[in-house]
Amino acid sequence: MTHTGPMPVMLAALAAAGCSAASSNSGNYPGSGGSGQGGRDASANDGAGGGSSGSGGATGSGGSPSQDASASDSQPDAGVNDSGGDVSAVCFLTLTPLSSTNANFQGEVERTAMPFRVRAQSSQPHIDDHWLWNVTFPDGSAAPTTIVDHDPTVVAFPLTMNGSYAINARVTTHAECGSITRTMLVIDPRPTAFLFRVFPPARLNIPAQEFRLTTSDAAKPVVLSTQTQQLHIFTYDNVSRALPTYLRITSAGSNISIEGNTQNGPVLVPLLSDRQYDVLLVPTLAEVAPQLLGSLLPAQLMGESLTLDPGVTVSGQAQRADGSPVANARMVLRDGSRPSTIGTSDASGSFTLLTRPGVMSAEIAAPNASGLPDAHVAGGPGVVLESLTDNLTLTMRWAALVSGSLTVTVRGLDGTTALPGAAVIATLAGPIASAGQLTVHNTSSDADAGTPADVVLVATGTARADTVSDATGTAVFSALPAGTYLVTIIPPAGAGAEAAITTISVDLTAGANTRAISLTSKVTIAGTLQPADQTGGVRISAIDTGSDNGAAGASTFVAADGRYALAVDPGRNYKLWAVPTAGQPFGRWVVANATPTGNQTLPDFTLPRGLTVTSTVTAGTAVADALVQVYCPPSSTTCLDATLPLAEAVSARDGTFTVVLPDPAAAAGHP
Amino acid sequence: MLATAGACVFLDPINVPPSIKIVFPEQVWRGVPATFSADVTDDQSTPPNVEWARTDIPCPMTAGDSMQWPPNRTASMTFTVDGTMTRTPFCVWAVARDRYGAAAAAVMRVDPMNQPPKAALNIISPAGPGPYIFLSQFRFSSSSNDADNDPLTLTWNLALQPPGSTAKLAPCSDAPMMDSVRCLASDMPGAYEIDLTVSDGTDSVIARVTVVVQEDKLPCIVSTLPDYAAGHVVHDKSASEDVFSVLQVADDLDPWPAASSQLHFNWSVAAKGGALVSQGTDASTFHLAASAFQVGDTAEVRVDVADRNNAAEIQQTLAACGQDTCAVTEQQRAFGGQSGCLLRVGWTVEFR
Repeated sequence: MTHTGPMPVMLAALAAAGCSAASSNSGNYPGSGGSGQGGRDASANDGAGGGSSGSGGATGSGGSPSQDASASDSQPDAGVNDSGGDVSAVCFLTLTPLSSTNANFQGEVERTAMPFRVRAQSSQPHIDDHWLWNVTFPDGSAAPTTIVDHDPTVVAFPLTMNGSYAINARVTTHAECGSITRTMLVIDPRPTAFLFRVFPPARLNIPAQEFRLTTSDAAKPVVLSTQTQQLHIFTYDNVSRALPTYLRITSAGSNISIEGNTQNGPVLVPLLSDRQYDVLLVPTLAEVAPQLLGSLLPAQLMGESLTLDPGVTVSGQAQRADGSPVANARMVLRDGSRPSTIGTSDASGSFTLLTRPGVMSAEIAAPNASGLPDAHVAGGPGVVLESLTDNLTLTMRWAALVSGSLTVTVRGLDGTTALPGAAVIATLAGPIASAGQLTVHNTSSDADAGTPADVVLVATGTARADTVSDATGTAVFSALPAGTYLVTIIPPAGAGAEAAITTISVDLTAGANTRAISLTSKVTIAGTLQPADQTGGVRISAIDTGSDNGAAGASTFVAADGRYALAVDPGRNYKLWAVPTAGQPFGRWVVANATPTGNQTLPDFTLPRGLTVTSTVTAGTAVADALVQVYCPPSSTTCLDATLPLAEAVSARDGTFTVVLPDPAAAAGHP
Repeated sequence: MLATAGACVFLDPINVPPSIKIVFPEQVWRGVPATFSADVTDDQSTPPNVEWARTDIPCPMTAGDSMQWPPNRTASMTFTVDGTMTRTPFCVWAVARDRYGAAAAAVMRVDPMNQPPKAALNIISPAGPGPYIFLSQFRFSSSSNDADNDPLTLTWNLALQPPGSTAKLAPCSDAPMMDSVRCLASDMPGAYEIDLTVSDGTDSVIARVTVVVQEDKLPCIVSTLPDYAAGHVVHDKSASEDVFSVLQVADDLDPWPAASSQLHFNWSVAAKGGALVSQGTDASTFHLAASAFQVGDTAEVRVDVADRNNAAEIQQTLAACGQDTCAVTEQQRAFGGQSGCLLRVGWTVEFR
């Protein structure tokens, strides 16, 4: 992609003031009259200005400035050469990286989520300069460029991949200025901080805490706050009966949530005194609506009566397109993290649920084998319950959708043997844009506004069903909404080690659909972990990130030559997670995301060098038996999974712990 | 010497030579300095001068005439033989000479006694007094010594080991030529007795140490996310990830987390009231795919842990338990004293 634009007046003024670029470039310099002497030395620091050396100055004998790719082009040089030539008399271009601390394009640039900015300058700015930009990704494709702040001399482009980027700029209106191309090597960013999560032993009544620490910070003691309050949380209904309730306590800015349930008695929770918490309460019984207590200090929670009133009853109807009732549909309204109770429709399609005021999304689960999709209504505009006195009724009417049955015959690797016991999962490949309508009737009357009008909300649809093949290898879905399905077969234990989880696409139409599916064989993900002579013994796991429970990954150890090969299921999404064994000089890292459709060899990957950090957990005194987990920093763009701990340790009696982290200063990634 | 001849009579009194007897220390040890003194008598009022010497054996039966006496004698009242000269039998000479030059000598053979070595056997690793965890790797060393500085011969012997044990007491792989260290990889619980026989060529002594290796303790789940005590949890059906983790497991050999841990995790899910299905994953963290469920569905999530040696026993115990949460009590397992050790925890997950 290219961008062109006129030269801004500002740069012209700069030139008029006598500023000129004297740094050399790898671009061509048209108009040079032969092999001139002089020019700036490749190593010259053009930020120093002047350029007034005798023999090394810009041309003195009619030649062009010399060109050297290694020269710095950070800033245009000021002034003229006093040894026989005015450098500004020759037009040439320079490029300056604005998003890097590197003054030139030497060295590596760490990939970030932020677009990278580059400035071009001409030694002979003209008011009519028209700039043309071309940036090429490492794979040869064109990178999208964006003019920054209406200044055509500055573009931004995304760093979406690692490798060598080619950046080219030229002034189309002044061919004599030529063009300039610079290359820039982009690498994975080096994490500067890690997220340390410390779980003190329960006996101390100190909550788990998180710290963002650099490796040098981490060498200092990790000091746990002891400003805590111990909460004993009981929950009651509005007639003071114990109310078994699931509770989840979260705090903004922390990834740690505390979950408990009062079904077995009070939940004992230590919390930090100066931190605000959200407490979600979901009674186990269907007679009381869940409640979310937001942004409360522990002191307020201690004073808070965790007595829950039933909430507001919302009744409704579940109907097919023809108005006939749908039994056993389940509806939940949700305001953020707070759900309602579950309303399940009876034979007449009627249901009731309990909720509280708010703006809510709706999830309606269609009954099995109904041929209806699950329906989803977004929270905006959503179902609005303004007050406890509102009287809402809901009508979920599914659209008239075609449905059909699907009979799958599962066969083994040989293509003929019927395979019983296989899990068969049918998932609608894409959402149904309009699966029905949810009509919200607010029958509360307001003296001023009267009865509000009904609100009709469009529901999108999804469908997923699963079953197990019978003794003949047959799995039957009696009714599914028509559409394109991904049918996934998870082989039973006896299907053989070679049998892969097999997914095929099936177009389901009205009526009976049958399909025989033979299992496919596993495929191989292979690669080399560098440095190859040192990575032998690293455990590498392919973690299946698919949405089918029961889909296992694979794991192996890297061979002595650095190579690995994992037998995995084709078409699945995997994270490749490398875990060095004790004593190996590397940190843990996610090596790649991969979705192999056949045997696949991944590019070599250099494991980050390990940095051993020894520190101490203290809370006034040393804390023994504290679990320390270290995760990628949340802002890391190379961390392919922030839920996988980079290191774990338990503090010793003296509070000390040692973790081996990926060295932020070490190169990691694809060499 | 008294002599008579004819009618001549010497009027001067006849000088009687002194007599000397070597006085020995109570015990002379090999390699240890020994000091001798002399018991001297004479007829003169002036005490005789005493000279000493040490010679190798054989010693003359008697001191004989002075021509046989060793030269380079040392004049002193006592005589100390350096430790380096007492390693083997030797002769001590003492010569007493009065002021008239009359002399007498005594010589005695000295046979120094051997000092037996002192045997010392140390447990270098594991640290601590024991009892030791199952499969402990021991490293023993000798700090035996010999006061005589005799070269020592060390003989190691595994004198006792538990029934069924095939463990060997052997040179350590990192010091295969060192006689002073030995390694033992215990393979069964019970007592191992290690004998170290130390010999200086003359005497031998034995040092003995017994180490007791415990049975492999069962792994006990300490903490999880969500807290297993919650039991019933309500999770957002639309959440992208529903993560369950075993944070910490106490175990002697395979504590979690630890780089050397060989702890196994077995995750099972029973979806929508169905049968429990093992998920075939052996990680401490499990991701439940919420998208596989509808609102109102429930799932049972369980995790069992097993260490490197007790998998079969744990499997048997858990099969008998059959519950979401299973603990082994002291009564169920005699050793270890791990009352309430959690081998399995579980959650009921409700999706809304």
